[in-house]
Amino acid sequence: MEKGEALRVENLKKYFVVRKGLGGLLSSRKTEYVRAVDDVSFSVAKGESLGFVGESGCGKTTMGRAILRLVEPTSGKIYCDGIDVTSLNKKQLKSQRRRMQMIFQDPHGSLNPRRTVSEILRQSITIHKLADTKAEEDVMIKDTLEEVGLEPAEEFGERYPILLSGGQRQRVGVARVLVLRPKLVVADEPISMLDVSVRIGVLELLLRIRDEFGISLVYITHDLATARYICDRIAIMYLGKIVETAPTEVIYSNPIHPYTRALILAVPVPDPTVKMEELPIKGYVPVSVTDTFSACRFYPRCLYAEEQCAKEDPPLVEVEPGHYVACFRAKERDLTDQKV
Amino acid sequence: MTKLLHGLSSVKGFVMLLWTNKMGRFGLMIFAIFAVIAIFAPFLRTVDPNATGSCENMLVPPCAQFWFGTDDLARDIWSQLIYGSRISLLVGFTAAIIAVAVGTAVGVIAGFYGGKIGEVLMRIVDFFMMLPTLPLMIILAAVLGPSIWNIIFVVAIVSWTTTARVVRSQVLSLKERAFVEASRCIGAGDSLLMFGEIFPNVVPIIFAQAVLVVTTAIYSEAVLAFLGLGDPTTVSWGMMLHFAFESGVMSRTPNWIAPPVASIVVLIIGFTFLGTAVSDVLKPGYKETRGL
Amino acid sequence: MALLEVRNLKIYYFTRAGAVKAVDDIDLDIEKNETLGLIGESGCGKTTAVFAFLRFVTPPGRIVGGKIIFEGRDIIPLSDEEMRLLRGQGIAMVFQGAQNALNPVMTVGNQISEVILEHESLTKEEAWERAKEQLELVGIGSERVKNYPHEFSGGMKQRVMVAIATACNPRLLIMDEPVTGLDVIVQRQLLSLTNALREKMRLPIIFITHDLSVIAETCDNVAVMYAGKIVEQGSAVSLYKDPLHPYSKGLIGSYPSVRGEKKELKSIPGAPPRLIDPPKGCRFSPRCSYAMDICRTEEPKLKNMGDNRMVACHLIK
Repeated sequence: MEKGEALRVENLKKYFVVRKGLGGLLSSRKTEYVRAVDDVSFSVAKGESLGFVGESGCGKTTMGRAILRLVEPTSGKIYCDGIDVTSLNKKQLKSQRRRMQMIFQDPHGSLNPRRTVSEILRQSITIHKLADTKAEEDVMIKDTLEEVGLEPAEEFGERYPILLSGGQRQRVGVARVLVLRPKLVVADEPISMLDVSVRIGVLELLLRIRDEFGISLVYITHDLATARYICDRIAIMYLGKIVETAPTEVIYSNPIHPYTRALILAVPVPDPTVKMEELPIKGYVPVSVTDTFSACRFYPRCLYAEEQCAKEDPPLVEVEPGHYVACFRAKERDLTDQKV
Repeated sequence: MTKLLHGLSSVKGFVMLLWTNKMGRFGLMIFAIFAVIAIFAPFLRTVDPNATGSCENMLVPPCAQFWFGTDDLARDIWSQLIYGSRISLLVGFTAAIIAVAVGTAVGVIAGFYGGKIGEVLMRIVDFFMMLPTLPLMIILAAVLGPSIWNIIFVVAIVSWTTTARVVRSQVLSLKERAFVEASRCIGAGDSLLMFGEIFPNVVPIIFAQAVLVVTTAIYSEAVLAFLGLGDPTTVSWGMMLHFAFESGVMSRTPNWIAPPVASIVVLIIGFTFLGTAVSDVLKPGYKETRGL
Repeated sequence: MALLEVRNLKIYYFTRAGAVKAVDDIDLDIEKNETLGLIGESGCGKTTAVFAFLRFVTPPGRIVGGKIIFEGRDIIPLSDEEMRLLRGQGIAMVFQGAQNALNPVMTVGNQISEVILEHESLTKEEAWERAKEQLELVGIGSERVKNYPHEFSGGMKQRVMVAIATACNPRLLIMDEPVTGLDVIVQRQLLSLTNALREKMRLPIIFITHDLSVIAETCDNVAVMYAGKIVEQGSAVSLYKDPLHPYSKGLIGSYPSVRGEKKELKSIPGAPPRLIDPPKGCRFSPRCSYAMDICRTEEPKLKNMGDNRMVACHLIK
């Protein structure tokens, strides 16, 4: 574990057993798994925000939960600030939770409708015994509400979620974890369910807490456009694996993996004079994936596939400093030459 | 105005919301009337309902002194009716509270933990649901003996299962909600999740169930008392009907039969309306569609 | 004569607390060969407005005033039966989250044929053949005509909805947030399909979304709605190059792009107003950084700026 690393994940796997039902009991096929997260490794530096971008089914949401052990990993190691999270017992995990938190996607569902804002924040404080008296708790609640922009704090504290707008509810979601002063926050699509004009405010809030409090962010999203604004580095995921990772601007200016290129070309451009181009991808994301893969996951959809791609799974290889790609043809000129 | 908007978080708001619903208003009024009758019984021109009297006061038809007349032991029917409301409400509420408490506990635990614990608990629920209620009540009441507490116990035993099922299914769906996961992520343990997060969201359903169990309880008590399994020293409406039946003059004394029957029916209807209103009011989006 | 002319359309929802003025006096024109994008945030009234075009407004909502003139005929006073005939054949709609609108126990072939048989007097076999053609049209092979909805992915289900909506060759297609919630590559495939429909079938489309970038990819003209009113209208190109209304400016400034330089993003402060009690004067004034006194007292009317552009703002002369 290097100094300055807030999070290190090694060979993380999460497999779900496919339930076979009655018919399955009678058949003799071996158990099938959905390999939601399949051998993912990465690290996040202190105060850095790493984005995980991919479409639905790529495993990013499962991975986010596995990092926090909200879902138990099948195998692999997770180190947060030097501590091996995977080996903690229930009690130790509870106190470790203070340092690793999550911001959820659904502003409506992630707040208990029968609790006021201050009760929701108070729960964070009391579970981790962060204050000795109620007065101290009140001060912490007030300060945190102000930090996330919910002012006047006294008024917001008394409100029930139903009276808050989507953006305000997400701010409460941020406040709930901010009061713990965590080292790492996993943000799972925090703005995708908000109105467009409100999204930037929440993004700016996340950036501010990262900078002011030195919190490292794992930012999960399917929206490449907004990821650009909050992430220092981006990892592209496809079917449970990381296929490319690089500093943000490099991903946008020099995407190498065919899937990344397709993703970037697919994002609509808010400029009517730019015409939509043909996407360098074929087929669709498989409806369910349980087959054993000894080939590149992207092979069925790749326009540049070769023989080797059908037989082996390409490892992540450093193509240029800080830029890793999982593709046998990553270093070839004809793919990398086409600038986006 | 804002009170009504998040009114479900306070009892007062809840009652106000019920009042806006036609059925709820009716149910609340019935409940209020009987509650007043039960509480203020001594002030409603009543005498001791158990006080027997002299021969010339037996089976007197309604008159100025005895508003509903007297029974075959010269007891004032009006007083019996008034004091009987206390028994009905007492049995109704107590049995309902016990049944709902047990049902909720079983439902929450079965729903939250699922797995083997859930399965075992639900099979117990299934077993109890299988038993025919009336025969079971009769047997238990006969075995345990006539006392008001036995009646309450017997009624509760047959009434808790629906609550368990309803609560369990509510908990199953609540368990998956993001705010429960969020609390778990903060570090809440199982009991805090069950009682701090899930339970408050189950309370509305419990209310609705409780109101409906009250109707079953009142009815069951009346039936058991009528069959002679009740406590003869406490005059409930069912008991009144039992005495009327035993006396042999039932067909000639409508003033003896009608009041208890009417009371039972009205109270049950009132609570049924109230229960329906409670479950309507608690449906998500109720306030919005009514424009509140 | 335009294909669809909307004049002074007002739709209010009558609640105990008062009337929610969901759509408050809007005018719209759609020509025969045009794709009009209707953009606005949630609650701005865009869905309510198009529901009115199909007469789907249900109580407590009611069309309180105005005219909706389709092919020269005001459809508001039409009888239920006349309206029923119009739906699907005259005007058709692809709904939001339409993937969930498919009947899980019917094959997609049957669901498409059902619509055809409702409006045209064909035999079952003929309708089935047409259903297969529809599936080809939307890019799903006709061999899948016997499949059930659960055998398709989200994006493909959306295409099935398009197949159903276009089955009877409607003269106007409305798509309500058709790509919201879809993954970006799937979204792109659906947008390409939409563009292909425009060209192949010469189908005029009203495209509703809250996503500016999606409009840029598909629409000729754009109408921007805010709080029940149309605040700006014009060609897509002119709106992006030179937005006039402060809200349009704010919207465009809040859209990140993956291409080119990373530009500075600005958020619009505040939140959309509650339509039970909209602000006096211009509804956007509480959030507008250019608001003048007149903006808070007098509601600006849509002014024709020439060159097919309209804007409702006191700042623009």
